[in-house]
Amino acid sequence: MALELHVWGPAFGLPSIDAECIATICYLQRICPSTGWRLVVDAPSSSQGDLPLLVDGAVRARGFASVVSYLRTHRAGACDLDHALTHQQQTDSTAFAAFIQFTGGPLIDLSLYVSAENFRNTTSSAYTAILPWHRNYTIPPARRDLARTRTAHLGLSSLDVSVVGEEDLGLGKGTPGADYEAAKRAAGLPPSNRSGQPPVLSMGRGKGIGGLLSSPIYAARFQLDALTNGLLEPLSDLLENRKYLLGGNEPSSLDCMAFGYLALMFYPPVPQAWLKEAIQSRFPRIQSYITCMRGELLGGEETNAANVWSISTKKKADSGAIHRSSLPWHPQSSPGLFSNLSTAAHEVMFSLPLLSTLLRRDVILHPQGKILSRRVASALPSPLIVRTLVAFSAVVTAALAGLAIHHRRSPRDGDLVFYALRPAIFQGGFGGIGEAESFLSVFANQIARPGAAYS
Amino acid sequence: MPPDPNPRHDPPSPATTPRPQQSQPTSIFNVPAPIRRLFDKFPLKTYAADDLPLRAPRNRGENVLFVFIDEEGVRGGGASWNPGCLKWQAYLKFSGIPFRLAKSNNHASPSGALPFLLPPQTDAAKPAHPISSAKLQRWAMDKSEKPVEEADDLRYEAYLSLLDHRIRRAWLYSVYLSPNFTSIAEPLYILPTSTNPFVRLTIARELQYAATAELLKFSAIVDAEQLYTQAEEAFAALETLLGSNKWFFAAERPGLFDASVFAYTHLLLDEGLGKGWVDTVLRDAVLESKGLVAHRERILRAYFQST
Repeated sequence: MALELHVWGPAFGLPSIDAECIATICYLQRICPSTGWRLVVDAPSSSQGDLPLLVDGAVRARGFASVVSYLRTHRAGACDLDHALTHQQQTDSTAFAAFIQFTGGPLIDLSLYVSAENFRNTTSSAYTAILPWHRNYTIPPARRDLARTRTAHLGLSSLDVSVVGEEDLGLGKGTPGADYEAAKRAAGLPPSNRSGQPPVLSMGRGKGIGGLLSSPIYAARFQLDALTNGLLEPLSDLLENRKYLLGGNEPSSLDCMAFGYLALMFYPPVPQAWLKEAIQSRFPRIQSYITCMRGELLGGEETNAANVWSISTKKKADSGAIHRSSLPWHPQSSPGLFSNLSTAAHEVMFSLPLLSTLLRRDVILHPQGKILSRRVASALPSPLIVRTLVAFSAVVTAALAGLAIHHRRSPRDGDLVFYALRPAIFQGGFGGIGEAESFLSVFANQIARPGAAYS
Repeated sequence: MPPDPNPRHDPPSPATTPRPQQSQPTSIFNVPAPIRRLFDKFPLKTYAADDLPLRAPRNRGENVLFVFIDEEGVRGGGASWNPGCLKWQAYLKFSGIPFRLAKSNNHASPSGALPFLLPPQTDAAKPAHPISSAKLQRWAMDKSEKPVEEADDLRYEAYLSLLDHRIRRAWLYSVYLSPNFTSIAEPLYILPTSTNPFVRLTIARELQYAATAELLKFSAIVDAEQLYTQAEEAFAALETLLGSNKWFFAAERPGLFDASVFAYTHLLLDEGLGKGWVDTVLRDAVLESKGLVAHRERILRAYFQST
């Protein structure tokens, strides 16, 4: 049974738009002959789980680490790039894989998704080439939101355009000129020449050079450089002058992982290319490592997204595009119109604010068939009590609402009669002039309009 | 004042108005004689100043570390039950900085997360600034007489990410989403905060929701088996890293990395935590690593002797 690897589609000349997918493709390309596996472009919605997904018969493995460990345990020893490593090296490999994943991931998030300029110019158009048209409305924004939440703790939301748009006016904030320009801009008038200049000219205004450097754009730049160094310095030190991260004569799974992440930092043609500049200017060793790994793992070829798209949708009958690529791209199993519609409807429903909270599915996979050592009774109200209470209050609310509607629809027939106004007033006695007056006025009303006591 | 007989020609000047006061020999603050006699009949009693509220800070001359802990732990100098707090508690002990523990929760913290440390107030006019956990390491290095030098190893960051991500995520699942929730999280985090069952229920839901949201940041589905497998790998890697050394990275003294490892291993091996571990996958993973167990014992004996 051939292995089937589902990945996000190709972009930027790389075989996938996702770092772990690139890493997994490299790994499989390295260990399997191209007839032994199939590569399928997929685009699952967020509730269906992550890619890469390796399907081997009934077994499914998600994520690079799971794929590697599955291949290591279930296929023969040849299917393991790490078999030559010592125990210490394998341990280091585990640690550095986690390090790359959790330090490199946020950098790619910032560069490709959070930065509004990069996302608009590069990433979203890359997604257009690999997704069916209707999924362009849901998948790229969803992945961008995810990237935002992942990097929220870094405090770099100033890369986002909606925020920058307000804050780049903040350079000379408080000065009458700046307020005037802001008012003009708000009114839709073109700004005068002075503020139309690039922001460098407003350097001295108000805050001096310290103020300029602490403005969001530059402060973000310092922080980005610190983050980039945090990832690349240890990697560069680990690499030393060797060809592979862990030495030896062959790439290991760590090299695949590192290439997946570094390639997405280096190759995408983004307008704000701070990652690429950092690699080129400060880490030439890493740069040569990336180009070397690309030749080694992918044969140095550029993956054309349009070709892969035509293969995966079977528009073009096998016209040699497959043969030009060394990767075994295969068409995805066609989902059919009904399935397409249901997916689209599903995604629309899940992106609506209220419905998505009501329809939220259980996203936690608990381990199966595990026997607990003992049970501990909870001191909280049990779900049964809570449900009973909720049901009871729902019934009461519904009953009241029904009563109100019923009353509104069919008002009471006949007159409503009020009694016993007079005895109350007499019993109360005449406490003062006000009371006597009110009593008299009631009396007077009754005399004037005999029917007034009935409504 | 008597009405002016001739207002047009002789407007009242300021010099004429205080005449009635000038006529009195003493100031207006003097109590008139009959009233003074009346008051003299009642003795004036001055009450002693009230005591400070019981919860007011007593020892302003000490460093106070605010952590998740119960009263018993505060008195006995025990370990906090939150890994993030325990890490800094252990690190301050390694640095030899004296401090006192205080029971607290996230709402009390200026940064929204525990732990934080309140240094002694040196100037009565200027309140001391609390130090959040992000700045605690630098503060400890400044204050300590023999600061802990961190190992200068290129693998330091890599192994730290194993702890901060792989093990932390498995911990989040294990404590908040697995059956351990009723035996660990509930007695430690939920029951002490309120006695109202509905408040408790809300807090429980919020905790579980927050843990799920944190785990969903990195994968679309929270796959428990995968989290546990990765944590087991991480513990095995740490075991290999420690090897036969006394402390991590063959250091002379324990440092921040040892504190970070201890924060998880101690809580996982602690049988008296909450109502005890029910889902024991992570605990078993630590128990298998003999080196980590010995490492925890070593720290417990040397620095947490009073418990």
